[in-house]
Amino acid sequence: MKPIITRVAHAGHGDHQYFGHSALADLLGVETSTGLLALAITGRRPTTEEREVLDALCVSLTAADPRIWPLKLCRMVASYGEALAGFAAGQLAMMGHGMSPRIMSDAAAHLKRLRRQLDESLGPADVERILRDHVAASPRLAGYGIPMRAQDERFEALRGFMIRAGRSGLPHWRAQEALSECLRRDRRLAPNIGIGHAAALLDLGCSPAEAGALSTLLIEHTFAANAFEAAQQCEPLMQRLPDGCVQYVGPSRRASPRAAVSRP
Amino acid sequence: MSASDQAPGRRSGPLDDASWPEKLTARVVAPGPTPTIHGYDVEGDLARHYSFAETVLLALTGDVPTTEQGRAFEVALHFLSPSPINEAPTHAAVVARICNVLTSAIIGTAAIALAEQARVAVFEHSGWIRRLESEELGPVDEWAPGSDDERRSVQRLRETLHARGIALPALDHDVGRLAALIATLRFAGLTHPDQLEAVLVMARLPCALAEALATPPHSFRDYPIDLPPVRYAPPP
Repeated sequence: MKPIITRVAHAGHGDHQYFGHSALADLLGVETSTGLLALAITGRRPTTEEREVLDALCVSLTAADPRIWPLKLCRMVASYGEALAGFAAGQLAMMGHGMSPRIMSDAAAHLKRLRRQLDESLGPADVERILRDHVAASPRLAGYGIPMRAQDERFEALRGFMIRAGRSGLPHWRAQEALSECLRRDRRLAPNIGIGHAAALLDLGCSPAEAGALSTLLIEHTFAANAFEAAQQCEPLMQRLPDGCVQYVGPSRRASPRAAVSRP
Repeated sequence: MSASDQAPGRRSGPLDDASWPEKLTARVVAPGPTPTIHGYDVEGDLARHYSFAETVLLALTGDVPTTEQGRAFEVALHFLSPSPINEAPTHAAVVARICNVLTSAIIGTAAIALAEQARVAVFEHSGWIRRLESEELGPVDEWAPGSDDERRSVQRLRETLHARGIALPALDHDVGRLAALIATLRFAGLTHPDQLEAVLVMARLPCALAEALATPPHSFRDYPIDLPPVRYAPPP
């Protein structure tokens, strides 16, 4: 049987190897938690500056209102007293077309394509043409559009951080800024946190798939907070709402064909 | 809930300022003291006149099946039910049991893995599902049996259905086991990939759980940890 090759880890005597590093000798006391997450996905340890970006990305995803759909289902499952069950269910809520990581990966993929076309030597007219073609090629670009508000406060805060951190001139962030300006102007679409994360993670050297996976990990604290609190509360209303809270719109009460035949 | 039930200090925000429905919308089960499924009384009607499998079909399709559809569904469920330990869903559930986790965690593990297995299986048969919809099967080489064992299994399916008075034209072709079972489920009324995924999970969950629950908890040293073998190759 051919062995499965892993680059992740090996349990040794006295220490554990993790992506080529000794977990206890090399990482303990040195690596940050978000740095470990980046290492888990990319296989590469971030620099000190990159760790700060990862921390900022993590904080920028701190939208943990228990009513937000994936967090609410997380709480419902955790309401029976097991935080891990709620946490696990919350993870599944991100597995699809509606939530990250796919959206983050899609955003990173199209931004990477755009960046490849935006050569430094291009004049403004060529840049404008490339941006318009990019927008025209996709009816709906991942990372744009914001429900229920005019702008995504998470994106704007991240944008401020990137400027302060001196990373707003990096290639993918610049491509994002140009694309965002184009979409604001032509489609009245504002950038959301997805395109901000995509740009920042691409500039950290992530692939689109890695950007999606890493963004998902960086949002876990919002699930953890809700799962833990819900498990502590064991709130009966989370477990069951009164029947009066349900509006039934299915077929009216009816007799089955077999019941109809069996009637005297 | 009255206004007095609301927590104090309600704040303003996008979620607070938007308008939302006040009730959950139920489309299948009408809750209450005598619940119905798609309008049929569960306790006073379905429990008396329909098998559980037929009630599952009702839930998934929206109406009670014919006798033939119910029989075909029962046969398909039987054929689908084995979930052997060497396949990931049962294997994972067994490992969960070895880890001595809560039973709910074993059930959750098995269900997630079965759902993933079903998702991929149905996706791999999406072309076959479209062919069944068109009712012009054409060449079926893509879904041919992978082995003589599989071909014999499909023959047993044909014979079992035939014994119950059911003949499916799709099974006149030399198709693989899952393709044949999907055709059978389609005859039973399950036409959408979502419905097929749901049924694959439901059919296999009992055996996956049974295998796990038959495993001694905490039996770490009885488990072949290096099967399949895994070797560490750190990044350069």
